[in-house]
Amino acid sequence: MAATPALGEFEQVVLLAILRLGDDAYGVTIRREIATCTEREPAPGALYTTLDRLEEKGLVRSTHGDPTPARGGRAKRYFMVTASGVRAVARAQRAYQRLLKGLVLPGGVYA
Amino acid sequence: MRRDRVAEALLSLVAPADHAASTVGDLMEEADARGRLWFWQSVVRVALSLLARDLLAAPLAMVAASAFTWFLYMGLCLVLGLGGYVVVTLIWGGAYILAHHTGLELLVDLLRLRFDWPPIPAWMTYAIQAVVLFAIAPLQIGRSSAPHFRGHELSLVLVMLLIWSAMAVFAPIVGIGIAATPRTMPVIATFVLLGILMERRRAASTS
Repeated sequence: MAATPALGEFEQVVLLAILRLGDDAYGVTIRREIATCTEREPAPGALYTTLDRLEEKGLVRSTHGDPTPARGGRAKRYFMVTASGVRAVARAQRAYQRLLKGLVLPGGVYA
Repeated sequence: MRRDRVAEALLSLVAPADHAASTVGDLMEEADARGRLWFWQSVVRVALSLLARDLLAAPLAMVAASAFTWFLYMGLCLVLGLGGYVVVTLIWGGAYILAHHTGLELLVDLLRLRFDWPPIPAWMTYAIQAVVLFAIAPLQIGRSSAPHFRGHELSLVLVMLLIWSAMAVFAPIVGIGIAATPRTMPVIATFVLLGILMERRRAASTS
């Protein structure tokens, strides 16, 4: 099996947002989902460069939808997480869980 | 030109055309609620982010491509400069001869293959050099490199600015080399960019 690429924090956030959105993950909805869940609005530049980087790593795949008049006739670029992306984010999250285990932090004790 | 087309043209210099279009679409969708200032701020920030990423992705390839285009530019300047000078000399001399010789004198001179005309004015020589060095050759460089750097054009021009300036300082070629100095590079780079845009427009109209 190919080695799972290491993920940065924002890359994990973006991957999780795409997973949460399912079939409706494109630039606008991904930004909104991240802002809602993290209470921090990502900069557009950071989001699009991260999406491109994730696609180059083979962790997400993008397809273009139909052009819509509301967007000046421009198509949406939909993203979906690949199997490799799912493995990478799960592995990164497990690492976080192991680091948290046994710690007493505001909001609770991590068992 | 509508604002979204300008934004799309800018972003397509640092990203593939379809990605640039969808990004502008996203920003337009959000700009309805956030306003025009937010739209342009976002366009510039996305462009800068993609540019920085592009430069860091393959810096050596960009440097090599810029160095190659420098040699191409030098060759073009030499060929076009000499060609331009010969053409202008013939026109200048021809005009002088026609204006100052009668039909018989012309025939005699033609048979002797000997013509005398005053030297081309210095301003005309400088004008030929300037047009070739600062406009025609850079335009041609832009046009010929555009198909090979789709979505990376702005990175190429930026690296070109730095590499060509450095090469002009460290490896001057008398007469031609002094054209691409750090002071003249913004003009040359502008024409390279214009050449890229011209080529892109031509490609779009033919496809």
